[in-house]
Amino acid sequence: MEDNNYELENDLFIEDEAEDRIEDPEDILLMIAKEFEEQDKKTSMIIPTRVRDVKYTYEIMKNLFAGKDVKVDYDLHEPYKDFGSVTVIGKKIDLNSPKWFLKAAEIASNCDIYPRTDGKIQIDFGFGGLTETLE
Amino acid sequence: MSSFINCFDAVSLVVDEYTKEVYPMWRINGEKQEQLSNICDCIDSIIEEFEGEGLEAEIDENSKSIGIKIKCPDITIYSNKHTLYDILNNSTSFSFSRINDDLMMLEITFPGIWEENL
Repeated sequence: MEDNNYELENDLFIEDEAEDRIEDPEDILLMIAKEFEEQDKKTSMIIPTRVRDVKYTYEIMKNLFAGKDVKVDYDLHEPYKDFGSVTVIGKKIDLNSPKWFLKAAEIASNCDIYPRTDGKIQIDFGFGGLTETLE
Repeated sequence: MSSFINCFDAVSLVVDEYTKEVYPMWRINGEKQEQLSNICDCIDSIIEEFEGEGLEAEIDENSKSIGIKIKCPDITIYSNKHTLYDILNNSTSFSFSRINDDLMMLEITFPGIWEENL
């Protein structure tokens, strides 16, 4: 019992130390970026189904906003080869088909919506897992 | 968001006012009102999560739809089971627009909760 307490205290001490070391969120981002850069150097294989997810989302968005003043674009393997994204930019992003938007959102890893400094609004659908590292 | 009013209270203000206007031709459908109340609870939770700074409710008298506008700095979602998706799934339409560099608006339209008083 005493030994367990000692281990617990020791673990907490280590956690506290780790928190102290990573104070700045920017440091965390740099650490993650470095990890992805390292990952990028390794040989990997493309996962076609995940790449298809990006293109599928792009096609949905392109159709939803056809004829509207909204720009839809996609990126594959940017900024790292494991990632893809679909971007929607417009003054006002109006949707009358929640079902299709939600279909796209469901297969994305994450979704960010934010105001831009040029007077527009942007939606980013992020996709992870586009590649698999070969050991 | 005003800390003294939640979504359902804000919606109820306009709903009650409109119900008086259309009575006796139309009345509130209790089941639909209950659904709206549940949606409002979800909206309260996303306002808290996304640090919402304002909420407005209005009724389109032509379509009898209920519009809810939420102001917040941004929206970040990491789960496809997020409450916001449930809310949008119950809507008839929605839109995102920019208010300024630090603030955006999410407008969600829900079907009306009135039925003809036959």
